[in-house]
Amino acid sequence: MAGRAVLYLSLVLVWAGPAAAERSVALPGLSPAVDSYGLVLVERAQTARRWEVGAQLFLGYTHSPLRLSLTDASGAAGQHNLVRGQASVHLQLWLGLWSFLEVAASLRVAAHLYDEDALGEQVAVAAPPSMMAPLVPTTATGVYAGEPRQNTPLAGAGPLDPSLSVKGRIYRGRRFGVAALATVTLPLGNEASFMGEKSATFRPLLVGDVLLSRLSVAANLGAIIRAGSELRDQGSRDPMKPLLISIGHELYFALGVAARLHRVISAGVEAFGTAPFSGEKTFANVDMLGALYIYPRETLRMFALSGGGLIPESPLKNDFRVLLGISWSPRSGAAQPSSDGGPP
Amino acid sequence: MTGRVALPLLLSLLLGEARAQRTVADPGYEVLLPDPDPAPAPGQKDDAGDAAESELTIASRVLSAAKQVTTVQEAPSIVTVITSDEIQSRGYRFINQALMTIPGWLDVQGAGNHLNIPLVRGTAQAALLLRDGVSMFDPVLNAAQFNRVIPLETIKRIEVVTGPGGVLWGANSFLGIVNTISKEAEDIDGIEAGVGYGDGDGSPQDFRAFALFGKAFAFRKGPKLRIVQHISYENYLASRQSGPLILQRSPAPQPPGPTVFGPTGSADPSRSYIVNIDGRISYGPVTLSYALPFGEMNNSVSFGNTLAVGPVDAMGERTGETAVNRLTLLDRYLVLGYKSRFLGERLGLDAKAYGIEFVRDIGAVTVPASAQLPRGLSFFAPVRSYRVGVTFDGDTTLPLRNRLLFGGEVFHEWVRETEVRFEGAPPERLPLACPLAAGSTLETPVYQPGCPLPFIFGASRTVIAAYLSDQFRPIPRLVLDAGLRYQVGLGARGYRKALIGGSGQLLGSASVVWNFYADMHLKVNYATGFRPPVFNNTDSNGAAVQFSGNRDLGNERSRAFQAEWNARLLKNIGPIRELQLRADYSYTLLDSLIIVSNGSYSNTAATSRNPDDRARRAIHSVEAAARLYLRDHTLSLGYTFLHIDTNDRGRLRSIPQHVVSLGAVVTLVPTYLEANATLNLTTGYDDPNRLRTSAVLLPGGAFGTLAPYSDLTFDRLPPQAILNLGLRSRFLRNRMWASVNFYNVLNQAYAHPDVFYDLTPTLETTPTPAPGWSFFMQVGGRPW
Repeated sequence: MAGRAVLYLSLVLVWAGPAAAERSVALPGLSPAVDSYGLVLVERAQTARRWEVGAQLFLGYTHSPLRLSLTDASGAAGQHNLVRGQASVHLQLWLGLWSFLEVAASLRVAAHLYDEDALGEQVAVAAPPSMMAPLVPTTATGVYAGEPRQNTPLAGAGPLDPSLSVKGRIYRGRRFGVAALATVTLPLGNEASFMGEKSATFRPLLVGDVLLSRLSVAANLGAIIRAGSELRDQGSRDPMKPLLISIGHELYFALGVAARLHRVISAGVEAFGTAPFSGEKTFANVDMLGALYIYPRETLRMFALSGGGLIPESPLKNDFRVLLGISWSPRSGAAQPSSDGGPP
Repeated sequence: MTGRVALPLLLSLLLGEARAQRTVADPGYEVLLPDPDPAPAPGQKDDAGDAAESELTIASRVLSAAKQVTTVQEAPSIVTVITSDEIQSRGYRFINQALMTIPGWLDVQGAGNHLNIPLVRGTAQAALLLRDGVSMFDPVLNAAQFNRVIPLETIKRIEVVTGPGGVLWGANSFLGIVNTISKEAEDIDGIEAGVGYGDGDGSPQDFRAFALFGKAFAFRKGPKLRIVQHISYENYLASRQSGPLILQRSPAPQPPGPTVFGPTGSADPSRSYIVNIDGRISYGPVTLSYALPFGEMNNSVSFGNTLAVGPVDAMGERTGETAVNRLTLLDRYLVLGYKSRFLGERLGLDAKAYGIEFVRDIGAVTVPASAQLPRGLSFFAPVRSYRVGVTFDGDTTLPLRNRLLFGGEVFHEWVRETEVRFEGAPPERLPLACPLAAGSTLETPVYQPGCPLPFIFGASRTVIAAYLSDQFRPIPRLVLDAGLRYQVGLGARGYRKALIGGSGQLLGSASVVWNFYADMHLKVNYATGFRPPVFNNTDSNGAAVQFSGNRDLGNERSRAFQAEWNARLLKNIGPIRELQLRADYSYTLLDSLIIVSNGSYSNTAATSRNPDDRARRAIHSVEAAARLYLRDHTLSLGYTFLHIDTNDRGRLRSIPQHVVSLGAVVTLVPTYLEANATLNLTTGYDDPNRLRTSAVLLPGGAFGTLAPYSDLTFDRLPPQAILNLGLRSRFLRNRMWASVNFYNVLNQAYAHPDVFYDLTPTLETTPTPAPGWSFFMQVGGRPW
């Protein structure tokens, strides 16, 4: 029954069409692993023990996550960092239902810095009124023109879409493991300010990992099924308003390698990315980050990651990202370093 | 002393039987509840675990919101308790910040930033504020002191009832009750003092200091003398706000007209200050408590969301003067109480006589300063209203496992005719019929300066009420509760259109609480309440700056069907000390709501001309709360779902449908340092407003924008994430503490819900801006 519901949801999302006029698209944010058994951004095929609870807190910053060529009021096109920076806080909780199955929830909030020059104006006066014409209509410019007229500007902060996940371990050997993860994000974020999706999304993911003596390698492959959204150049004088970027269904992949350096310190490299498979004017993205993991106590893990986007053609390529976080699980050794450098 | 003996004797004779033989230890009847603070048994070691357990148990006690000592789990209504320790550890500075974390409650501001209005189940002005059980309901504006005037350091606990509570508390306990319980002398036992400073857009240049003294003096004979004295001083600026300046609008009672906006500007309100002097003196069962606050409370946004901009010169440049834009809102009271128990604790009596002065001093900017109106236009109306009365509450144990609550009240409330005066524009330029000066004629009119007009006409009301509520426990795990109240409003503004005789209001309640398994309870409850029209609804002067009063208004009525499941789980399992859970569903019906219709107040639905077609609202709400005590840490979660329909405006879209409040107090260094975090998340909501669709040439050649009456929009107010963070340290064996708290850390620029939900916006035509980020750091202690 549950599988059928997921199928229906997927079909609805696949068939949902893009909106005609919008003023934002969802930025590809960080999507950390749902529990502390993973690396940080890459899932591992390990699940929490039964009734084990845990929490993770992340603080992240992404510089220039959205760069577009926009037409300004003079009609000239120029490159703008529409979103100059995104700071975010992620809170994740997980609970093991059985030793092979866990559920997780993620709450995320973000604050944005915008390029005010690139946003346009909510209330712009096309021609100043005069004695001959004392009353002239106003209009909206820039991204504000992408929506029906509002008194509210773009939000500088707000919640991102929260998510709920179910992770099931399919096989766990001494060296090799396979798991599956299903995540649903709820469209509660501010989709008009680059902080949320237009609709719920469904994100199935296949997880595999290999544990070697001091090394762990994890790989994820999945998809993001969503209703498409698009952003058009509202400043353009072309009545069709050229499409700047759209986001539709995407393939999701991630790869991570972690090595133990010391009893309480590990280091690694984590990469993740998306490749579009629907929509026009879509772009692939890949981010790579170097990671440092510290295990000060059995129940605690702290980590720091830094890196950036790799695909220069993509408007969603960021200049750099920084991620700091802490994982805590009072009942387990989830945060304990194992001989391979990653979590046990 | 003779009287103390005679009264119990008389009562025992009246009640008959030899009940006096029974003792507290062996009462001979079902003891409904344990002693509030049970003493350890002889030889019992009160170790840390017991202390922690006791702390949780005491935190779940309800001492007065239900007019009896009970527990949150067993109380016949939906009750939440916030303790003084939680107030400190969560970094709450104002009572509304604490209320915001309770499921079903939302902190909003209205009338610009003049009023703090906690919404209960999406309904404004529906909560009754009590100070130690005395109603602080303002009979003129229903603008309760839910603001920074209430000094939180004097509060021992806040007990909050969600839902109507009319049987026990009478008028105005419409959808919620907030009872602040002050600290006793023993809670302080010495001198506490603190000083702090904060800044930031949300609360600029905020200085506050307080001192609190409490001591119980024992004498050789007679009861103890307990003295509590508090004084605090706060000096601050209202939140920084900016936006397009309103140059012209059509305030009430003008017909709706266009709003003209000029350039963007910033508010610069005058500095505010509040001095609180309050305390209590107890001698045995007699207590005298008082509060004498005074001050001036300026705000940055005025009615109609007009920014408070200081005077400008002829060129439109600021002169440096600030703008007086105040709604000073203070409750001054004197309460004499008598409280004791008789007949071996089986009969309790609590009587109070009180007098309250409600200061609602309005000095509001109507049109901000501009080159066209260099000093802007403001009006001043010092509204004072009063209430004097007596209340009497009793509880006694009856045979067959019954417990009876009974009581009543008599009070008289009144407001004198209050004058409004205008500043900033000569009377002849005001769109009002200003009174002529002596000797002036209509042919050559000379108006009285300031255009003095009645703001509100004098009005009064006398109220008499009595109630009975019986609690029957047929088996130890089941409690049945039913109550009735009859309340009569007499006099010039006595109740109208009430159920019995036109002036009498009958209220009823019933509940079943079933302790069905271990520490799990199921609760089903029916409760009613009502809200009589305030004098500003009945006696406002429609020829000044208000909508017309309607002296024929009836009472607003509320009914709620509520169900709750609550549990206390996982006690002392591993690191978990306890998990408290609760989930409620309620269906609430509001009837005869007072709305503004055709320039006056009415109980009739906005879409109807039939007076019998009353304005109604139906509210489905789901409220859930969880609190996890994990070692020294506390995690809490609150969730509210609201679905509100009206019979004249359709779905109420201006209230967020989902609200989540997450809280954490994490001990970083045991007994020394802890951190706190509060994250309030709300989903988006709508606000009916006007659009600026035209640009207009202004006198002097500048141009502004214009929002005509017909250009409407539903502003989509975005989802919010309000994050507060703080640190608190304690040292010198808890005798000193220091804290720093950051509010709205993400600097979320958001707008408050529009409680009017006026689909043809006149009162509020733009989103009401909320405060930005701020911080406050303070040090304090109890040196003696």
